Amino acid sequence: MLSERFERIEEKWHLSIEKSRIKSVSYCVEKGRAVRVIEDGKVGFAASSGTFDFEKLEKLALELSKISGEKMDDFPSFNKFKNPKIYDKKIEDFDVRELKNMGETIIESLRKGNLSTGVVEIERITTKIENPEFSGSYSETLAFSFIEVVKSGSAYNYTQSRNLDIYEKLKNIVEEAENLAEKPTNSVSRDVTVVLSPIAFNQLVSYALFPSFSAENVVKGRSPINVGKCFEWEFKLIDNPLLNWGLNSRPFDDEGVSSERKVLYSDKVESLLSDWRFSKITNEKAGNAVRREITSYPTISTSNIILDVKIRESIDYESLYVHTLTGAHTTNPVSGDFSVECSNAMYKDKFVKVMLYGNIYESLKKLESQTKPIQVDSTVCGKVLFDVGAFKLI
Amino acid sequence: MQFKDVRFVESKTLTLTLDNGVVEKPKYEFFKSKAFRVLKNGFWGYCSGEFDVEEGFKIAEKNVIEKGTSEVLLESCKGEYILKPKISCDDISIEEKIEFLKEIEKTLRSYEKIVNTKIIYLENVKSVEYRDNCGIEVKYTVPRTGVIIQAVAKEGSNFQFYSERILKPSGYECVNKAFDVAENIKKVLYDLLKAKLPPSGEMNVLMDPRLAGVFIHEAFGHAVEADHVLQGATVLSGKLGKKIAGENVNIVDDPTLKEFGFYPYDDEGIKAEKRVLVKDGILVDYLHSRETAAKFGSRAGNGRAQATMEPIVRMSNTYIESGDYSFEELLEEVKNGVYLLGTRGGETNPATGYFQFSAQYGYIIKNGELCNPIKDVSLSGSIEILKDIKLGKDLAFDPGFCGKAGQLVSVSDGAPHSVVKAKVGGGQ
Repeated sequence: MLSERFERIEEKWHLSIEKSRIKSVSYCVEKGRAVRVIEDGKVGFAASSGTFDFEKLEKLALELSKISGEKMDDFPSFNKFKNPKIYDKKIEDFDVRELKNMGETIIESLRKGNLSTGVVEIERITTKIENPEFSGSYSETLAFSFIEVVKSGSAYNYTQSRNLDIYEKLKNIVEEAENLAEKPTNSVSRDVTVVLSPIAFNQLVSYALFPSFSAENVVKGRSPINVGKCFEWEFKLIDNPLLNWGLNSRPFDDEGVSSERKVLYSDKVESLLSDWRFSKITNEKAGNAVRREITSYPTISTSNIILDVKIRESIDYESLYVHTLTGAHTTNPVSGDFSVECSNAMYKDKFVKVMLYGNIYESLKKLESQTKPIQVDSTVCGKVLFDVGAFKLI
Repeated sequence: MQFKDVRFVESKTLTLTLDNGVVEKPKYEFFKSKAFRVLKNGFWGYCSGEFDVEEGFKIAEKNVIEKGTSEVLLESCKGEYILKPKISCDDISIEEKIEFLKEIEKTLRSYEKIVNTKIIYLENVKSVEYRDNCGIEVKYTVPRTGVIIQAVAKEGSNFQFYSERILKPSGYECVNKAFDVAENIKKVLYDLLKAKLPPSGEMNVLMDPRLAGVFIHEAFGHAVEADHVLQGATVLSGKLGKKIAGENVNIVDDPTLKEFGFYPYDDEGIKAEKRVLVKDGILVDYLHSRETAAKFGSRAGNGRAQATMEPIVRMSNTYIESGDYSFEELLEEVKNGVYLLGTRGGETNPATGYFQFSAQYGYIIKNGELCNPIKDVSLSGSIEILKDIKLGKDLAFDPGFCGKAGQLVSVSDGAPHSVVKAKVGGGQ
C-alpha cells in the first residue's frame, strides 16, 4: 500500500461589523488531516477535522480503495520547488488590537450611508504533505475584508492580500462602495461597450470559463475546450502559481507537485490545468490540484489566472460600467451560456438596471483591453473593456 | 451579566461518486470540534477549535475588546432528540450502495443520447450538544441522506446538462425514489436537445414548484432575516404589520417539517418551531436568532451555523402556501409567456429586493397552451412581484444548501406552481 498524508492548520482572526459598529471578534483554529492510499492501483480517501490519527484514516481509506474504480500507480515525486512570497512575518506579532484598528479604519472611511456589514479576516495557514517519494511544508498568510454599504441602493466590495498591511485598501473599498450604493433608476436598451470591474470579470470567468480548462472536464466531455482549439480571442491567459504575493501562489500543489507557470491560451488553447492522475491520461503537466477545504479531495483548479491584454490608462465612461454580477454561479458550465443581473451598473453617470446574457466563448472575442491589473480571487485583471456586441442587454 | 455558551459538534460523512460508471473519489470525512461564545458588556467574543472548555471560554472572553450593544434572549430548556431512520445507512454495505448507483446509471444509459453521467451518494450523521450558563442543555443527532443525479445528452454538437437531487433528513429509505428521478432526467434531456433559446424581456412566467420555491427563498426569505433588518440592509425593514404581498399569499418557515432544512433545536439551543412570516399578504414576523429576538421582543429559534462557525439568522424549510388555481387555469392566466422548471440556483440582494435565478429548462406558452421547449433561461425581478402572484393548488419542496456570510446550511424551499410577471433573459 502507498500512502499520502496531508495536514493543514488554519488559524484565523475574524472581526465583524454591523451597522457601523464593531460587533464581535473571534479566533478559530482548525486542524485537519487527510489520507489517500493506493492499493492494487486503486485509490481510497479519508479525512478529518480534528485529531484523528493518520493510522485510523489510513485504515478507512484502505477500506474504500477496495470498491474504488479510481486508478493511480503512484504519488508525485518532486523534491525541487521554488518558493513564491506568500508569508508576511507581521503575522507573528499580530493581535486583536490590530484587528480592532482595521475595523475602525473601515468605519471611519465611510462618509455617507450605512455600513450595514463588514468583516476583516487575518489568517495563517500551514500545509504539510508526505508521500513515499516526497515531503514538504510551507506557511502562508492571508488578509481579507468584505463590506456592504447601503444608501438609496446597496453595494458590496472586498479586498484580499497576502500582505497584512491593508489599511489603504480598506479605505479604498469603502469609498468605492459608497460611491456605487445608489438605486438604479434608468435602463440601457441599446448596444454599448461594456466595462466589467475586476470583481465582475472574475465572477463571470470563474464560473463560465475556468472550469473548462480542467483536464478532467475535458476528458469527461464536460468542456468545449481542447488543446489546439482556437476561439479568436485577442488575449493570453496564464496560470501562474509562482506569482509573488499571488493569492493562490504556493511552492507545490496539494498533491506535492512543484508549481509551474502555464500558458492556457495564446492564439489557441495551449495547455490544460491538470492533477497528477489526469496528467498521465492527457500528457498535460500536473501541479493544479487544490483541496478547497482541509478535508476535500484534491481536485483540479486555477491558481492565479493572469489576463494578458493591452493595458489602457483609464476606462471609457461612455461605456456601461458593471461593478458586480448577481447570479454568475447559475451559468451553464458545459455550454458557457450565461445570463446575469448587473449590480451597481452605471451608464453615462446614471445608475442603471440591466441584465447581461450571452455565451462566454463568443463574448470573449470582443474583449478589447483592461486597466492596470489587480488580483480578485483567482483572476489577475483590471477593469475589462468589451466592444459593442459582446453581451446582449435587457 | 455575562452570557456564555458552548457547542460540541461531531459529524461523519460518506460520499460515493459514480462517474460515468466508475466509482471515483470515494471518501470518508469526520468532523469534531467545539465553539465558544461569550457576551460581555454587549460585545461578542468567539472562539472555535479543539480547546478544552475552560481554555475555550478564556480565549472567547479575551476577544471581548470593547463595549457593544448586543444582547441575548435568555431561555431555559433541557432536551434530547434522535432522528431514528427507517433504514440505517450503516446496515447497508458499501458494495450494495454502489450496486444501487450502478442500477441508476443503467436507467439513465437506456436513453442512447446520454453520453455522460455522474451520480453522487451522500450520507451524513451530525450530533450537536449545546449548553449555556442560563439553563439550556440540549443535544440531538440527525442523519441526512441523498442522491444527486446528473447527466449530459448529446446530439451532434449540441450538449445539454440536467440534474436532480433527493436529499432528506432520513436514512437509506429516501433513496428509493432515485429511479423515478432518473426516468424524469431522460425525459427532460430529450426535450432539452430539441429546446430553443428563450424569448427575452418582461413577460408572464409560470414557475414550477422548484423554481417558485427558489424565488420565495431568495427574494423573500433572505429579506426577513432579522440580522439584515438590524443592519438596515433589507427592503422589508420597518414593514412589520404592513401589506407586502397579495391577500392570497401566506409564507411560512418551518424547521419541524421532515424536509432537508429540518432541525430539532437550532445552534443556539432553542427548540425549533413553525413560524408564520406572511399572513394574508401582511408581514407578521421576521426570522430570529437569540440576539435579534431580544432586540425585537420576538421569539428565537432560527440561529444556525455551519459546523462550529458563529450562529446567524437562517431559513429552514421555507414555503409559500398553496392557492386555488389548477395548472390549466394558471396556463390560461399566462396566456402568452413561458413555463420555467427546475433551478440552477439563484442570488438576491435583500437590501434592494432584486433577485436573479436560472431555470433548468422550460416551454413557450402560446394562447394558454404549452409549446416548444426552451433552455438556458434566467429570471430577474424584485420582491414586488409578490403583490400580484397567482398560486396553484399543488405544493412541493426542493432541497438545497443556502450560503450566507461564508456558511452553508441545509434548507428546502417549497411552493405551488405560480404565475408572476418578471424579466426573462438568456436567448433571442
